[in-house]
Amino acid sequence: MFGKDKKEKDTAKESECHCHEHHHHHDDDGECHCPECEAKRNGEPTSIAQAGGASAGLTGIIEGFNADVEARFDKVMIRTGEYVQHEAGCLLGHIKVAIYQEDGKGITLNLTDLDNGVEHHGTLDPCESAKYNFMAAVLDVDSHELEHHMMHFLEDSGIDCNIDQPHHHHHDHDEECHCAECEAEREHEHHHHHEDGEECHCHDHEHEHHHHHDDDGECHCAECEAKRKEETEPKKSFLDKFKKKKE
Amino acid sequence: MYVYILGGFLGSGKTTLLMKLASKYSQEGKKVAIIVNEAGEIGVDGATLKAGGYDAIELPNGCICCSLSGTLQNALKSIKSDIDPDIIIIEPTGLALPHKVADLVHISMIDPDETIVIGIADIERFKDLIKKKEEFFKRQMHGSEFILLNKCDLAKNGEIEEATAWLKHQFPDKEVIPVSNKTGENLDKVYEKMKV
Repeated sequence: MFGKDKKEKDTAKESECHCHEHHHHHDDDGECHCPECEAKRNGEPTSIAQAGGASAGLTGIIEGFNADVEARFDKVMIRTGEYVQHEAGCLLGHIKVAIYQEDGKGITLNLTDLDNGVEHHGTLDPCESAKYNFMAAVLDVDSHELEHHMMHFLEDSGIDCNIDQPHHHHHDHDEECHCAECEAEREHEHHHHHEDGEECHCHDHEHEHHHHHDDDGECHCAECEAKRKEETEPKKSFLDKFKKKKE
Repeated sequence: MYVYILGGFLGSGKTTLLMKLASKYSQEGKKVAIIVNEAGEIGVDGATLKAGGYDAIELPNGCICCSLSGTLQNALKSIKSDIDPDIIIIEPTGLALPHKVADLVHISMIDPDETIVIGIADIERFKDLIKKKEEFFKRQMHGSEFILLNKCDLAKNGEIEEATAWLKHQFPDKEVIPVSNKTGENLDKVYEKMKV
């Protein structure tokens, strides 16, 4: 009896939901039936996923804020909007920047339509440093790509600022970024090794698809993969063929 | 206590309306609590509201209608117990389904007098949105008490009539009010419909 009680107690303990604290939704089955937990259990996509939404954001500190910085941020936002428009066909969503002091006073910039340009709200006097939040929530683009481009646009803007959250969190353990842009850059570097007549000599056939090469130095194009598979697969015996025929 | 949920797509003018409503009710001496939700880790609306002199509870990095539903319920309970406001204004992300947020308010046991969803559509990008995300937009407007057709000051000839006709066809039971949250045009009609 003691054992059974203990088991029941343990089960009850395990069945508690610790992701949030609204225990009143738990039924006798010990499971939480709030929409959040139900959605998780059912694998239901979030509304953001249903809409095809993507969001990205950067924060940091601007050294020396003035009207020039405000105008440069304007350009960063326009470039981000143009990137989204190019990728998704149109800019559906918004791109926002808040530049503010410790006490919360500051300006916000808002871009929802490239034709109308960036809306500026509030005023902020020139100051030695100010915090910024730069975010975009849009449709039909890859959020990692979006963040990556936002970061580059900001870096290229000439604004003297740091970025709190470079996008290392998306990188694998090899610390390399695998977004399309960085991959393309690496492929480009690889291409530079082939200087003699633009031919790749790391393996023994001529081709023009340098982009398939991985760090292992092997070509992973369909042709080479098929050749490797053929070489590694055990050859079928007469008996195998006979068995297949019988089946 | 009344709970207002401002539902609408990204960039439709939810934050602008929120600030107008918060300003109006604060001036009338009512206690207003604000919840703003951002899809991403980094938010701007909280900073915008703070710059405007409003204190808001920010719920970032997810959507309060689904992935942050528990967080929303906890926030509502805290507001009820700590502030006990006359009005709570909730601004979900522009990618949320507002009727689901209303359902969460009901089950959060804060016992409001009424929970009202105000739908906001942006006249400028109306066609693009319908073209690309018609079903999602319809779901967003589904639970609204009435629909505001915002940015009517920027509308071209015939656009308001066209969008109103579409909305009336889809939602025959809902009143459609062309407004400009920025200029304040027609907002008096919105205030008349508010029950606070």
